[in-house]
Amino acid sequence: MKLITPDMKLADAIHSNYLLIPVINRFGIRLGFGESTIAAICNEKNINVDFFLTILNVFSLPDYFPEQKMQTFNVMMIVEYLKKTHQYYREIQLPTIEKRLDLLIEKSPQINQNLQLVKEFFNGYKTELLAHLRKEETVTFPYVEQIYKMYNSDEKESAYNQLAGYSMDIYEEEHDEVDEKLYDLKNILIKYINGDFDQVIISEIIFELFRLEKDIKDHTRIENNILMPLVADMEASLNVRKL
Amino acid sequence: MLYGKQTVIISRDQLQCIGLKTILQEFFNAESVITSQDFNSKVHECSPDFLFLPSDIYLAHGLQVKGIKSRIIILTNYTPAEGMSDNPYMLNITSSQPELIEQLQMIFNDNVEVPNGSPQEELSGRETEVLKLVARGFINKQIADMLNISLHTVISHRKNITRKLGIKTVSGLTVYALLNRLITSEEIE
Repeated sequence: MKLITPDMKLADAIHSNYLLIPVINRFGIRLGFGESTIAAICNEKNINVDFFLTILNVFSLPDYFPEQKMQTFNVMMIVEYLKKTHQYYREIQLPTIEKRLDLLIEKSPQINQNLQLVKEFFNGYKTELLAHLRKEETVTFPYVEQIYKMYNSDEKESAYNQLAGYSMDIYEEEHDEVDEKLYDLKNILIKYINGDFDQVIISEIIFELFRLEKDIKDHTRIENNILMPLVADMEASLNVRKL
Repeated sequence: MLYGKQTVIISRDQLQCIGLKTILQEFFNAESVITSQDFNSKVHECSPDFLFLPSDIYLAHGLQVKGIKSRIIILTNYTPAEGMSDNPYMLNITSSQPELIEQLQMIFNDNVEVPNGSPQEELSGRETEVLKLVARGFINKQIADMLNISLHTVISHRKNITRKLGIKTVSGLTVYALLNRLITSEEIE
């Protein structure tokens, strides 16, 4: 797969990796963009083209991660993007998987207790993921926003006194646990499901789980490797005391 | 196919080294590929499973090369006649990529043993016992007491269970145990 560049037609970028469709949606770009180049579309939609390309390339190329460039991005722009990915998980991907699981149970010719078990396991995963997303939205992102405002205000001196001793470090651990459940769910469906079930629907569920896993990995990479270092830099210059 | 195998490529041509290494990694899942500009003692020491080298180096170091136990593949620019010799093998470097891959596939098929089934991946009796207790909701300390083994042993069983099954969380293990009727839902604490 090659690097996506501003002179490329957005349609060609999608042809090279169709999984980018939901990613461009997060920037408010809808399908039907004709022959336009990425630069033209970003210009029209008032999207920072550097940021847009970086997100697309990070998503597409596992070994691509231009940290220096990313350090120049505006923190709020990153938070905005992360919020959009949350919205996508919550409103699109999780409900899609849930509907498929319900269909799987419904279509099973006899009552298969095992499918019910899988559904319950998924519900557990979903609850944890939603709780994690909510925590980021109600605690982490507002904290980032606050520190960003202080960083850009003139009264830096008194700033750190107003900040609660919140640390970004709790982040990674929680991520891991939620991610492990998704990993388990995939293996349960691939290796250990038994009894009577609809092969086609279960394949669709597995596709969705792989897609969700990839998206979450990418999301975590952006949080841990771009957002957190940027916040840490601001914290350092504001003298925020870590607990 | 080359997972867990050691491969050495000797060539003064860096592009050749990089190209071959990439093919071995992308198509044959090679884990450890070392490249070197010349035949030296280092190559000798790591005694690779497969050793790729051009014919001039092979000729210059013939005896030394023969002294090592590796499968030797000589990089040449002609195709050997039918009934290709397997000691050393020849790889025609003027071939197209699909042809190169086919030739390599033949060489590796001859030399890499494919294990029958995966006996190592079945849970042992003890691991199954531990799994059942984990699935029922007991913590490591309780399991150690119940089975009369050390905490350390419980942890090591749990690591093996997770590695073998590909399931990391307790609730995942519970689902596994229920699916396989190792426990019933009434047994869960």
